[in-house]
Order: sequence, then structure tokens, then C-alpha cells
Amino acid sequence: MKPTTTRKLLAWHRWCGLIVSLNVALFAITGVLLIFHEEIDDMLGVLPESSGGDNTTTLAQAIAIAREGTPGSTALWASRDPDKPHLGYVGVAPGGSTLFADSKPVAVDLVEGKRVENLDFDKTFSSIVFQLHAQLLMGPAGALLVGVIGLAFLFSLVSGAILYGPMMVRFSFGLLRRERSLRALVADVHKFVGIATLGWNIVVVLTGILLSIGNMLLQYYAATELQALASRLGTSEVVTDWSNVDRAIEHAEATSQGRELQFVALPGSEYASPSHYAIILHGKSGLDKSMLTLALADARNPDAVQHHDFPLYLQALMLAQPLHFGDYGGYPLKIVWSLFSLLSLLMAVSGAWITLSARKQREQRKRSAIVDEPLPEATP
Amino acid sequence: MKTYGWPLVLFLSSVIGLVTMLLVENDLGDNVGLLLLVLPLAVLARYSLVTPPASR
Repeated sequence: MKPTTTRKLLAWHRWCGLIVSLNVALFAITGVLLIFHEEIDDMLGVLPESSGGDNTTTLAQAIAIAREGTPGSTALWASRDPDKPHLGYVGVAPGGSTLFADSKPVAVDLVEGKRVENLDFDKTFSSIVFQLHAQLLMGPAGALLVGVIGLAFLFSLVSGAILYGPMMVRFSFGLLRRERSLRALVADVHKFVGIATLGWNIVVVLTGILLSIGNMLLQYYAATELQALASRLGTSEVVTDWSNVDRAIEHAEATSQGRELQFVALPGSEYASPSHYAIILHGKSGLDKSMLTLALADARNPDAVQHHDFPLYLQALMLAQPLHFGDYGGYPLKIVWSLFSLLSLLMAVSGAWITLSARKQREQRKRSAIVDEPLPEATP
Repeated sequence: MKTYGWPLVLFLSSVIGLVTMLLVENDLGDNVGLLLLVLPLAVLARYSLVTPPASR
């Protein structure tokens, strides 16, 4: 590579890295918290424990209970908690809205048949941390900004890997010059940590960028393929009697080779047809647990179920979820993921420090050059 | 290209480790995947303790 190209790339790498460094530090810290969000929620007692006994409330009854507490509302989706089977959730939105983004989850105790009071999912610690991580607390527009920051970080990573070659050509791998200045040591740490964690960082950043446009991909799917499926299935009249939703879920699960309910989008909502339940199913373990499939069940005849696979771009989105959050390998993977996150925090902070201290040093040199310069002699 | 020897090994090790853990759904896949993923961390720890000579 030509020296001028290397210098230009280094300048781009430094500035790009400096701009995203604060965000990367934020993503690393919030990312570590999100890795352990289940444990944090349990510790904070976010969800109530079961009072014991069997579930006596169906999902259809849970939907009615959730709506009773919010007059004039409509339900858009419902689900059961896979880890706490005594809890069901219903997405309730202001009357007339069909958008999932407008809905707020309401928890219903399926043993006692009553709404769980004083539980606002938007205000739990994990939820706030997630909104900060995924949307910078700015809603859907924030998710796109996170995507742009992800692209800039990806550029920093790739340019850093390219620059590593010419910079390290005379040095050994893993060199840390402890006997030189602090800046030389920090620069060595930055290069070493950056190149050693490059693989993990590239995977996490690429999946993060994909997840940042996840909502757009879902909306595109709803407006194209799901719409086409709905119009092929016929009626445009919205079915509002959801009393047979449990029967539809049961039938969808029974005909899906052991898959289980993730959530059901109710007829009329943005992710269902006017007269069909869109039942989203997941596998029981491993990769299959992340790969969702769709079952469309007729809301007037719940035994008529059609199974569909999601298109490739949505399957890629589903695959991105575990690869970004590292939640598929139990505690050992969670710990390794946290260590990598903390190393990317170290990389971001050290990179910003090097750029800023180099700039400060250049300014100091300029100032001392001006002081040392002799004054022009006065002319008669 | 010699400069990129170790970086390439660590890059491939972590990516293959991540994917192996995700795709191979048994204990062997989990253990091999985790071992590959941990390699960059192990190398970081090793070189932080014992710094190699400065020049090649």
C-alpha cells in the first residue's frame, strides 16, 4: 500500500473511530447488562412468582381480562411466558390502532385469572437498557441511527485490520512496549486487542446492523408477502371474536412437528390477515428455537391451519438475534460474550484516547514552534 | 503477509467457534465451539503476561 494511501486511511480510521467511540462504549456496557437481563430481572423481582396450582385461564380469557383494564382498547397480540408458564401477555393498543409499535404488553396471571398490576414493561431496568442499546432512547428513528453508527464502526474495524499490516510489519505479534511512553503502550494495547477480537466484533456488528433494520424488514414483509397471502385467503372483514384462539394455537402446534407458540398476532393487526390468526411458532432447542415459522389459522374455523416459512431475509434476521446477543450457549458463552464486550469497550476508549492525545501533542508542538521562532528584525 | 498469520488464525477461530456452537446441537459442538471462541482471549492473556521481543 502506498504511504499516502496508508496516511489517508489512518486519518479516516482515527476520525471514524473517535466519532463512534462513545457509542461503542455505551453499546458494550449495555450489551453486558443485556447478556444477563434474565438474571437481573429475577434479582429485581420484575415478574411475580406463581402462587402455585394449574393454569385455569385460557389465552382468550387473558385477552378479555387485559382489555377490561384498558377501556376502549383493542388487543393486537398475545403470548405465553416460556420460562414462567403461569404468565400470559397481551399487547393492548388504543382503539383503532393496528400497529404493534402502539401496543403495550399487559401481563395476566393465568393461575389466578387476573391482571398483574403495577407492572410497566417500558419502565423495567432491562427494558430501559434495551431501548438505550437498540434505539438510543429515540424510538424507531434511533434504531436507524444505531445502524449508521454500526456501519461507521464496521468501517473502523476493517480499516484498522488493513492498517495493522503496514504498522506491524517490523514488530512481533502481541507486542506491548511497556518501557516506552504511555501513548506507545496504549497504542499497542489498542492494536493487539482490536486484531485479536476482530472476528467476534465483525459478527456482532454485522448482526447488529441487520437487527437495526429489523422493524423495516418486518413491515416490508407485512406489506408484501403477508398481504398477498391474506388476499389469496379471501375476506377483508375483520373477525373480532377471538374466543377460539386457544383451539387455533393448539391445532397449529399439533400440526407443526413439535413447535411451540412464540406469539399470536390477532386478526386485524398489522401482522395478521383480517380473518386469520398469524401464529408464530419456534422450535424447542438450539438453532431451531430462534428460527420462527408462521401458521395462519382461520379465525372462523380454527382447525384450518396453513404453515408457511418466512422469506430468507427474515430468516437471516432471526439468525442474527442469537449471534448478536450470545444467548444460545448457557453461562459459559454469556461469560465469554461479556469478556469480548469489555474488550471492545477497551478498544474504543483506547482508540479515542490515542487520537485525542496525538492531537493535543501536535497542538503543543505547534505552539512551542511559534514561541521558538525568532521575531522579525525591525527595518529602518 | 507474515504479519497477518496470528490475526487470521484468531479471526477464523472466533467466527468458526461462534457458528459451530450455534449449528452443532450437541455437547461436542458446544465444547469445540467454545474452545475456538476462547482462543483469542487465551492468546490475549498469554501475550499480556509475556511480551515477545519487539522486532521480528
